[in-house]
Amino acid sequence: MVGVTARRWLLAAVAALAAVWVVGPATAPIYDGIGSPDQPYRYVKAPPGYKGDGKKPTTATQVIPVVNGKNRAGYLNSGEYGPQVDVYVQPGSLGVPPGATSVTLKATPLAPSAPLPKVGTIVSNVYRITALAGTTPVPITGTGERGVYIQLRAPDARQPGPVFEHRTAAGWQREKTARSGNDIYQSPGIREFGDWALVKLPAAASAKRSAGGGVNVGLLAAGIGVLVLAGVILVIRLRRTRGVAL
Amino acid sequence: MTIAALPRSRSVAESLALGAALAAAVAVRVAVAGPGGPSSIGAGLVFAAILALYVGACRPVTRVDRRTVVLGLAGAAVLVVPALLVRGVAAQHPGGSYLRWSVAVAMVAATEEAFLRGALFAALDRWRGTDVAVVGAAVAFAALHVPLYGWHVLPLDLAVGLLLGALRVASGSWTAPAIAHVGADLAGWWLV
Repeated sequence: MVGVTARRWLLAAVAALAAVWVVGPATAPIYDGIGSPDQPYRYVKAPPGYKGDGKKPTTATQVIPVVNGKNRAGYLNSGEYGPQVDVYVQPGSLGVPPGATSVTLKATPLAPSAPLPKVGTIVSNVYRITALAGTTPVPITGTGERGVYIQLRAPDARQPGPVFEHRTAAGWQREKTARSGNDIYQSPGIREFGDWALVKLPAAASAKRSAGGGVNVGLLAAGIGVLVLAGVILVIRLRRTRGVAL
Repeated sequence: MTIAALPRSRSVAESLALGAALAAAVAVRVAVAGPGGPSSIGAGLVFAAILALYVGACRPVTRVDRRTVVLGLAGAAVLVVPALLVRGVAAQHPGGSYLRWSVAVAMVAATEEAFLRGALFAALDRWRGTDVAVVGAAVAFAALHVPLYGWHVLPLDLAVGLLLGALRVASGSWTAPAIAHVGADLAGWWLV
C-alpha cells in the first residue's frame, strides 16, 4: 500500500510531468545523464584511410512559418547523432518576400570542390545552406544575436580546433568561430547562407585563434573550497548527531 | 533519543551543508568538463565520486526489496512513456559502446539519487517535514542541471524531481527513485 502523502505526491508529480510534456516538450537531453557518444563523422567523400560507419550524411530540411510578413523562430538539424549541421533562425531575421507564408530551410552536404581555401584544409563536409520562399531565395536581414546561427560538428575534438569558412565570389573567407561543445563549433550572426565548412588551419595560426578550453581552474578551486568547508560542517554535525542518538 | 527527535538546528546545518556541497560539486563538474559540457564522461564520474563521498558520510536509508524495485520500474516507465509518445524512437542512435556509456550514466544517476533523495531528503525531512523534502530535493535536482543544459530544462526536471521524490516517499528509500532515474536515462539511448 502507498500512504496518503506518497499518493498525493505521485498524483501531483504525474500531473506536473504531463503538463510539462504537453505545454512545452523539452529539447534534448530527455532528462539527465551524461552525453551520448557521437556517431562517427559521415563524409560525402571521406579522406583516405578514414573508417566511419559506412553511411552517407543526411540532408536536413525545415519549413519555417511566416506570420504577418515575418518568419517565426526555427532550426534545422541533420539526422546524424549528434547532428553534423544545425542552423538556428531567430524570429524576423529573414527578408521574407511579400505574400510568402513559409520559408524552406535546407542544408545539403557536399564534398569539398575547387576552389579550395588558400590556407588550411576543409575537414568537414561543405554544407550548402539555402532558404527559399517558393523558388525565391530569402536573404538574412537580422544581425548579431537577432540573426542566424550555424553550427557544425567537427570530425574530432582535437585542439586547436578548426575555424568556420564561407565560400564567396572571392573564394573562401574566414568567419567568426566559437567552440560551443566538445567537437561543436558555432558561427553566430552569419550574413548570408551558401556554402560553409570547417577548416583546419596550419597549427600556429590555428593555435592563435583557438578559443581555448579545458579545465576552468578558478571555478574548480572555488568548488573544491566549498566542498571542503561543507564536508567539515557536515562531519562535525553528523558526529554530534550520532553521538546523541546512541 | 532518536535522530528524528534531535533539534532542528542540526538538520538545518546539515541541509545547508549538503546544498552547498551539491552546488560546489556541480561547479567542479562544469570546471572539469570545460567545453565538453554534459558530454564529458570524466567530469560526470568526478561529480558522481564527490556525491558518493557525502552519501557515505550521511549513510541514508538503503532498501532493495520487491516493492522498491517495482516502484522504481513503474517510475521509469512513467518517465519514458511521455518521451516516446511526444518524440518517438530515434531513427539514429549514438555511436560508441552502449555498455561503457550506460555504466557511466548509471553511476551518475544512482549517486545523484543517493545524494538528493537519500542524504538531502532525510535532512530536509527532519528539518521541515516530508513536503519540504520532496520539493527541496526536486528544486535541487532541477537546479543542478541548469549549468549543464540551460534554463529550458528547468520545468521538465522539476516535474521529474517531484516524481522521484514521490517514489522516495512511497518506498521509504532512495533506491526506488534511483531505479527510475537510471532506467529513464538508459532509455535515452533509443529516444529522440
